[in-house]
Amino acid sequence: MTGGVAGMRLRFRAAPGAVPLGAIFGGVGALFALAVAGFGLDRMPVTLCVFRSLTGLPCPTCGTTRAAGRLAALDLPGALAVNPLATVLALALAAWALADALLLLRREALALEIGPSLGRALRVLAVPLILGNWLYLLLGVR
Amino acid sequence: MALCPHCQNALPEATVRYCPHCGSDLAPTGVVFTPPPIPAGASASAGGEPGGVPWEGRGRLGILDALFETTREVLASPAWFFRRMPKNGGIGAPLGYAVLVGWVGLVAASFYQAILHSVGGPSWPFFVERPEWAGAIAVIEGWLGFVVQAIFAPVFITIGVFIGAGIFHLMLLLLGAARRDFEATFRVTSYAQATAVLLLIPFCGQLVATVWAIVLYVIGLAEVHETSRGRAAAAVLLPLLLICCCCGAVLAVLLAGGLAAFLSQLG
Repeated sequence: MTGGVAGMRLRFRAAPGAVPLGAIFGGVGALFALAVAGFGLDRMPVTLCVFRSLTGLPCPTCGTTRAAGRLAALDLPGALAVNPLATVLALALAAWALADALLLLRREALALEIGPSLGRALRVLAVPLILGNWLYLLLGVR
Repeated sequence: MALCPHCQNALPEATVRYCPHCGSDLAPTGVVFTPPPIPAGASASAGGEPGGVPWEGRGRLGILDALFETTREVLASPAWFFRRMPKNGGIGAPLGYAVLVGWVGLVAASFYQAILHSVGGPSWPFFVERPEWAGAIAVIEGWLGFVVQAIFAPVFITIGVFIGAGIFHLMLLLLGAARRDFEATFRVTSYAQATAVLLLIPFCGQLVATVWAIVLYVIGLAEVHETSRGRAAAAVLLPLLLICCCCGAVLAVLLAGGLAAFLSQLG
């Protein structure tokens, strides 16, 4: 079934023996945040973004490193200010990682099942989200 | 009831292209398995299994033979390799291959970098006015950095493969081209690490390996997810465009600075 209620379904389930991707990506994200905070990568004397170097304007991902640094310092408002979308995605990843870590004790991993209609809706929604976030960065020139 | 010729599990219907249990490529009818045409120069490897990957038959072939054969098939016949590659069966074996091949390449690349640094000095000129950064970069580019990278390369490669596969799969999902789960994307990303052997070529190896890796990602993702090469290329190139935005300057300065420092030593 591709339409109706089934097409819009969103279901979380514990999958036995599945790869704990949330825990893996969460671990990588935590390592990145710690590296940013520990080595001060969010305070580098130069910008590494070619788009920003050429135009003076931020690219859609500008501020992600600074957001990671703020999150590592538990400064959520600061992280949201420099890149809201990256911060929200990082928080979602943290929740996924936590769920996976708990399920890992039972040798299970969190699996997400999205119906085809909901999948299409999410894909369409992703475009204005990315553009809106970029517009926010452009207006603030952060 | 039709059985998969590889894992002998029952097939759910007569028209499946891939076995849902082991991921092996089946004939279009799904009942009678017909091996895909083997390109010239490629052998029916994996210990004679037409649907396998030599690396995943390393118990029979031996690690070195399996490593060599897999690398040769990925680099020489990528479409054929990824078409017959099992689409699931665990991430351990592909990750092991990526770490092993990637380690060789990374060690070679950092070795050449250390030699270049010894001869030509630091390649990050904009850090000259920040001695604390210049010192750190000098350590990373030098022989100490070589030793550190040789030790920690498996960690870096593991993280890199997961991030790469995660980004590619996310892009495939956004483009509506992900016909298989994350594991299939992960296997393509892992086996595409075969290009790391090109890092053994001094200086230009990095460029050749990067370009060929992009080609392998596109071919592999298109074959595995049964999508067009255009969509696969979009999934690979769109994030690269973003990453290039952020890292292109570093690479350009690194290359230009290193070359300039090397030439100034010669001159």
